[in-house]
Amino acid sequence: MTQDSTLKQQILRGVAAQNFALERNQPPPDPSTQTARTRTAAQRRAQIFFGGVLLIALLLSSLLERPARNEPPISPPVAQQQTTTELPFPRLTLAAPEFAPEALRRAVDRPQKSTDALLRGGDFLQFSQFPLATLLGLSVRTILIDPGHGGRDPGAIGLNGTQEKDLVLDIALRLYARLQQHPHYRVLLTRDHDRSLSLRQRVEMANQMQADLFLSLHFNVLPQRSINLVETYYFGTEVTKHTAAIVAKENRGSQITMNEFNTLMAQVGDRLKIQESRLFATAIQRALFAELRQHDPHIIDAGIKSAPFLVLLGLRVPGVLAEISCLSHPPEEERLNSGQYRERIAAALEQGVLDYLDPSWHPDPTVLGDVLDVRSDLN
Amino acid sequence: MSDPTSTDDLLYMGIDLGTFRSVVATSSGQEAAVLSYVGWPKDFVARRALGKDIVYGAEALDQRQALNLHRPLQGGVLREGTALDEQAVAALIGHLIEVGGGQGRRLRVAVGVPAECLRINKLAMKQAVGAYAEKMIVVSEPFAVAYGLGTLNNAVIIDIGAGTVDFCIMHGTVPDERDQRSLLSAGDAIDQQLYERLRERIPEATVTMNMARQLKETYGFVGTSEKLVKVKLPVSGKMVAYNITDEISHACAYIVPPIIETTMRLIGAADPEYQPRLRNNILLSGGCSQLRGLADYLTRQMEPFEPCRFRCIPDPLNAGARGALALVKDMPEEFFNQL
Ligand SMILES: Nc1ncnc2c1ncn2[C@@H]1O[C@H](COP(=O)(O)OP(=O)(O)OP(=O)(O)O)[C@@H](O)[C@H]1O
Ligand SMILES: [Mg+2]
Ligand SMILES: [Zn+2]
Repeated sequence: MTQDSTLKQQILRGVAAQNFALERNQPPPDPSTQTARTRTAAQRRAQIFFGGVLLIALLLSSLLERPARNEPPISPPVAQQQTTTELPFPRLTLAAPEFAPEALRRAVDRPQKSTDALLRGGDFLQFSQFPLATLLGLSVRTILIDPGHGGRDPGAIGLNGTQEKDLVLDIALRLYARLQQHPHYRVLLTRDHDRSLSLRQRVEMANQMQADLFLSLHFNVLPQRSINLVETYYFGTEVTKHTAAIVAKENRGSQITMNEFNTLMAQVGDRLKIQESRLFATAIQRALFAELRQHDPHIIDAGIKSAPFLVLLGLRVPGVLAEISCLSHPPEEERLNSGQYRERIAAALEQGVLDYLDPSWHPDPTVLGDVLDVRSDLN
Repeated sequence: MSDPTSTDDLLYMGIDLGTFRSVVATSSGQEAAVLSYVGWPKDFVARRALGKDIVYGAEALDQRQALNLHRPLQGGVLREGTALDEQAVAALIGHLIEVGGGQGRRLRVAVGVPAECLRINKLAMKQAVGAYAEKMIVVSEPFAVAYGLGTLNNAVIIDIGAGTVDFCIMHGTVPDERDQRSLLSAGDAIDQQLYERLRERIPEATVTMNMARQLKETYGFVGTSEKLVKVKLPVSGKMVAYNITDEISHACAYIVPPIIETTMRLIGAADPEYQPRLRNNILLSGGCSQLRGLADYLTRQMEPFEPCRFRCIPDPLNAGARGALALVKDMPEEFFNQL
């Protein structure tokens, strides 16, 4: 036998093996009607939810500006290939294939009514204490990691010159590699190298790539160098002095006028998304704090907060912004220069994501964080 | 009576299920392409006007006003819960089988799908297709291309399609996750870039995404162009000439940096002993490999890092379907009997 045909045989056997594995993992074709009904109901709720969210997103996208003329193109999100012979997912079977577009059409045809109904509907509230991921079975699968800043925007800079944009990119890549190990998730990055991206571009990417979950990574700077704290934000409308400063810092680089911003704010009544984001923020905050306190016993748990971050505003899906720790705190800056430490942070973030997606996970209702008054003299 | 163990009356089919364009090739020598669009009439009136319940390909695109139009694999994956997209994939495959003359025949089919779709939707794909051909194999697109070319060893295949750029290293085995990558910016992203640039620079002209795609296909290039690109665009009913060389050039260049980075990373992660051979055998397939100057440009861009040689394969649009056909013909019948 020639070498070539031996190779061919070997490859054909490999293809056959892959396809057999696929057959074997096939779930029983006839799920009990009971499960089918529950799933369908959950799915329908989700569809209506996304219908409403889509509507809001449509309103938003019509208001968001076009990019400035010389803006570099969006770095294409990167999806790493992972072939697995295992069944990637228990599949949800839909009883009535028409209802997905139906729900969307309902939401779009009668925007006022359906959005209001969506917001008032007690139907949703009874599920609000469970992560959306739970409602949908395991259907969350596309996670978009967003390392903040980049390119001409360095973000915060430590006393020793460490730049926020480099730290968050490094941690994002580590987190990416970790989440990639889980065959259920498709993991994407808004940028995988040092490049500028506007907030609008990041949001567009999340929406275009149909991300299911959005996690933006940042580091804080505080005027008091002695303080180190962890805090996680989700989109909301409350503004305190401290959050105003952070918001100003992280919203820099958007091309949205104040007027448009106010209009946008008025239109966001999307409670379910906010509730989901809040749960996601809780999971991230808890995991981060548990890890960081092992390195700095004095680190403050500033808890989860809601703030009007533009990068979270236009999202159709739950999204949070983690201010991992304070680059303004010199010992922290020093720690952050260790790859091992950054790996620990990535591991904590991974844990946070997994917790949120775990149907059996419930947030501790007391995670509100310490109240802290920080002067807002940052810019 | 036909002998069920005989392979004489079997029809073998290779199908390349693309995000934009799907191709079928059969053992009886047929080849056909269908744009990956499926549409169902929006309502009773539309159904009567169209005279059918389902419309495929270019016709579906043309009649989109009257249809609920689906492009099921757009973005490289089937979304969970998008039942209509699944139906659309099934219908599309049924249509391809019909176009390939497979109705009522005993079939052996291999389907190449975007690599990311293979990872995420393997089972969904298989179920979607099951109704049409129980004897079926699913493989990734770039692997099908490699198999068809007979490059089973020491090669990198980069399939640059509409929705995805799929990378695959061949080293004598079925590629696994370490050997494959997908990027989600390909031909569609160029269209989008070109469309936005043209709308921004020439707001008075009527430009559609479809026109952007056609402009890319006709004039697209990377690197330096020997000629200026001058086209006529409709401005309030009249055709006006514009020089769009820069817009074309920038839009097409958009997909290059991630391709370079990914190529470097993939090769860099391979066994150092084989890296020089891989670097010398990088093959471009897919519709967008036809962008003028692409292989040379990529070769030049890599020079400062590691010298590499990129080449375009012949018949880049049909290579996937032909490869899938070659594979299904080579697959021993015992394999299908066990399915
Ligand atoms: N001559 C050409 N020059 C440049 N691009 C072209 C040319 N002909 C076709 N294309 C583009 O190639 C793409 C289609 O290629 P192909 O048929 O390989 O994609 P596909 O298989 O549908 O997509 P994918 O591989 O992502 O699933 C489209 O974006 C199309 O506009
Ligand atoms: Mg293709
Ligand atoms: Zn920041």
